[in-house]
Amino acid sequence: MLKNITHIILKRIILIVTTVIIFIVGSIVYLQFLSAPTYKASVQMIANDNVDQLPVYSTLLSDNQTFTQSILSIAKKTDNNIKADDTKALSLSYTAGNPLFSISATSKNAKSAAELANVGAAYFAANVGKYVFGVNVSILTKAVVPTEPVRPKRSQVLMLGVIMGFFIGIALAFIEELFVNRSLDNDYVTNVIGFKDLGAFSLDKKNVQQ
Amino acid sequence: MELKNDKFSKDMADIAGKIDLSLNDNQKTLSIVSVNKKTSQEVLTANLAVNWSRYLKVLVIDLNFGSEVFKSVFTVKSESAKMSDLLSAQKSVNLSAVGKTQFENLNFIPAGQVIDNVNLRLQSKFFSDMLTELKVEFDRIILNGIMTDNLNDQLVALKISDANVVVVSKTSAKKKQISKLATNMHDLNIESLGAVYIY
Repeated sequence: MLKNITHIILKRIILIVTTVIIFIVGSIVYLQFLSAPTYKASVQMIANDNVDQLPVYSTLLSDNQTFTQSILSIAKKTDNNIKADDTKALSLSYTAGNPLFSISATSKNAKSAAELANVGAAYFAANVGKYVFGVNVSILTKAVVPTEPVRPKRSQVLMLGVIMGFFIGIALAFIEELFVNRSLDNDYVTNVIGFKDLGAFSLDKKNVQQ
Repeated sequence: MELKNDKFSKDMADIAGKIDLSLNDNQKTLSIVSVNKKTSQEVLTANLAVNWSRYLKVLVIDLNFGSEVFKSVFTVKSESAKMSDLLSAQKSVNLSAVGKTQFENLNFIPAGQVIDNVNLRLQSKFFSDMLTELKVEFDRIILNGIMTDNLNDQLVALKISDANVVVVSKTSAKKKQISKLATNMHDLNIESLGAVYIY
């Protein structure tokens, strides 16, 4: 059985390889022309005291409309590409007990992501004290304009294309072998059905007179 | 039947040689079957018989009742024994009545007219005894199986013979048919020597 399956795969290897190549080309086309890349920029910050308040900072950035609207209005003054939706992509990430945390922004535009992250972090450092009493945070490193998008990941999309192409190629090989090409050949009789090959002859005069 | 040309006769000699090597000493009756009625299996039957008759005593029994597929191939006297008569009368075959063909060592029993209950008659003890009797006289008996699309009829020839060869035609056979035949043979524990392919 395994021998027969291997034989069908090897017999249709060109079909399988072609399918894989088509899927790889499709993945490249998708990455180059169809997918909109998303960039992410981060600002490294430090909580100078009261590390336990980090979860509150995170909520403040994600849930406080006044806070985010203020960041948006400041950022739009320097970058017209920033849209209202971009502020929803502002996030704060931290590790419990660690004073280091980061404020990140994602955007379809690399420069906008960096601008929004820097403005957001600066506004946050300057105004967090108004919302949480007696805290002090400062910026360690500013965000730089990212060069590589975070989505879609090129290697993952290409790998997915190869895997899908391989399995769909095998499926097509079996469909063609078992259903589409219904006429028999000697190879099918011997290697798929399992009859020993006892020979072949032709009744066609063209073949006979070779 | 004299062989048509070099390529064809070489192919047939190769096939005859391969089948000969695949048969063991106890396998004297060989059935030739195909997956549908359009396959020219009689070409293989006739050429195997001619090839083997050069060094073996061969008998060809045709099981295609009502048709005369070997009429232009083997010339036998009209009073020679016919399978339909032997099966209907259920009497032992008179060896002197078995038709001699134009080939030395090659005898032929034509199918004869259509008779009822062919499958039951072919699987009867009478026919089994008749084959046993013929095996004593002949080195090899070739049963030219019923050329039909009905799978059950094809299986009868396979069951009553010691060995079998499946003939597959590129132009008329379908994958579904050969798969079905192979599955049925497997279910009935019928081993095949192999397949000969007509392209």
